[in-house]
Amino acid sequence: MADSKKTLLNPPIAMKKIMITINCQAIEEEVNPTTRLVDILRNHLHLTGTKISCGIGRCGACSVLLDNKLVNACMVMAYQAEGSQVITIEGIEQDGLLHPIQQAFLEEGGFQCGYCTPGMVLATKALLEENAHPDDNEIKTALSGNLCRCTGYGGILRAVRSARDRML
Amino acid sequence: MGTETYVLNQKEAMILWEPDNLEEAIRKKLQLADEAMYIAGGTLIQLKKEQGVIQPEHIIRLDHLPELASLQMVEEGDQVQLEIGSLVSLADCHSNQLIKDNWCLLSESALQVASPAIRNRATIGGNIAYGIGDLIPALLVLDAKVTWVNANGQQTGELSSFLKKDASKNALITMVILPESSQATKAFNWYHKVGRREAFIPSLVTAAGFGYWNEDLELEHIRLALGGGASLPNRLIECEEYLQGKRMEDIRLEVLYELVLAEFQPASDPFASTSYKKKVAANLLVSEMEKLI
Ligand SMILES: Cc1cc2nc3c(=O)[nH]c(=O)nc-3n(C[C@H](O)[C@H](O)[C@H](O)COP(=O)(O)OP(=O)(O)OC[C@H]3O[C@@H](n4cnc5c(N)ncnc54)[C@H](O)[C@@H]3O)c2cc1C
Ligand code: FES
Ligand code: FES
Repeated sequence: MADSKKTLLNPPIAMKKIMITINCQAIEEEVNPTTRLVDILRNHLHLTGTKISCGIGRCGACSVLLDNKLVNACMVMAYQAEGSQVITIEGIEQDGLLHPIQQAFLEEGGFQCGYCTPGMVLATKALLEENAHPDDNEIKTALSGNLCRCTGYGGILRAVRSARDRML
Repeated sequence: MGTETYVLNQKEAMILWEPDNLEEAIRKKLQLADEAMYIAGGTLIQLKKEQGVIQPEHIIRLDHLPELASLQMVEEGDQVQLEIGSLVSLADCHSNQLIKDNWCLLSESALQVASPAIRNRATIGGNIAYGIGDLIPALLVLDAKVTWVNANGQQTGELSSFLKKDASKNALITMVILPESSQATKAFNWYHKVGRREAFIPSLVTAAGFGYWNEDLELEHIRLALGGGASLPNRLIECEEYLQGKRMEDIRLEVLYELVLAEFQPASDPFASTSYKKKVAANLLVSEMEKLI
């Protein structure tokens, strides 16, 4: 039984060399293709700016951009990211300077403990790239998958508005 | 970078199959049957895996099959219909202009699922295969059809019968079809998801309605559907029959209320009883009809 299963079609894939471009650097990793992207980032590549909390797509701490779209790295498996461009929080500084969104979070009190911040910043980046003039409702919708246990969101909203205005 | 080898807990690993085409995907599924499942966006599968739900060990990938990714208007006789590939994401179901303009209930319902990041990955096919996805009530009132392939080959049928029949066993959903939307001027539609936390957990009740009046202010077309929690979403055929053809002034809301209570049979769950859900549904439906008459 088991043998007949193995002989049909391509064999199942136990380990696979996966190529992903992470923060503009091509990475090749031999992994089980169902490894979560968040584990590759944090445990293989030590890019620990991407956080992990709920692990089930509900908090947004692990948000990254996959081909410019916001995704939860805990929900994406290695094979799904193969051949894609991933941007993490480590990849958004510009020539050694903070990205304007990061600067806005810093100046507007957009974080306290900072655990949600990488995800918030990337969700903001995804929003502003799609819609340069979001109103408060659009900001709330765009950030609805990113939870913060500290700030009460007032500072975060201020930071996103300020990032929007300074990026115009 | 990349110097340390991280050993994946093998218990967590799933066995991935990458079929070259649809035919191979189906063959593999028929061969492995209950030991395998298709995987599209993987959001539900990943959620269940992390929650410790026992799932088939083998996954058959669909997300690289281009024939499942298209979205197009097609002429069918003297009608045009929208064919949505099963891999189309919920984000695209929400933002696609054709869908927004002509089948706005689908667009609206997609926005009610989870968060932007999940909607970027989650697919319409996965939402239907879930069986209780929040898109289903909207699709039911739009008279959606699905095309699927299983051991008996390719078939197209009403979404409502696909959900009920054994058809869904081993079926690979390839496409969702929306018939031409009504251009009736006196058309109405609504969609509500009632829950404890809007987008993140199964709703208590999800309700959708669509219809239009004719020149004599008779209800020429009416579709109502309810879902919610772990209950399979259904059309409310008896309520529709009561309303069908009625003039505005002949609709008795108290009768409709009782009909909803009788026809909607949601399962209770730890958070809400069957009777509570029935009441929510009846209130919702009646208040929507009241706005119209
Ligand atoms: C945080 C979070 C919140 C969520 N909130 C909601 C919500 O509010 N409402 C809601 O409806 N859902 C919700 N979901 C569930 C899920 O994300 C969606 O239903 C989604 O549309 C599933 O699509 P997918 O492509 O990711 O499915 P997958 O996870 O890939 O698959 C789901 C199921 O469908 C089967 N399947 C997938 N594609 C096909 C196909 N083409 N043919 C046959 N079978 C197929 C799979 O075998 C599997 O059984 C949520 C999930 C998460 C993680
Ligand atoms: S850790 Fe990924 S969404 Fe919470
Ligand atoms: S700043 Fe602490 S969780 Fe947001």
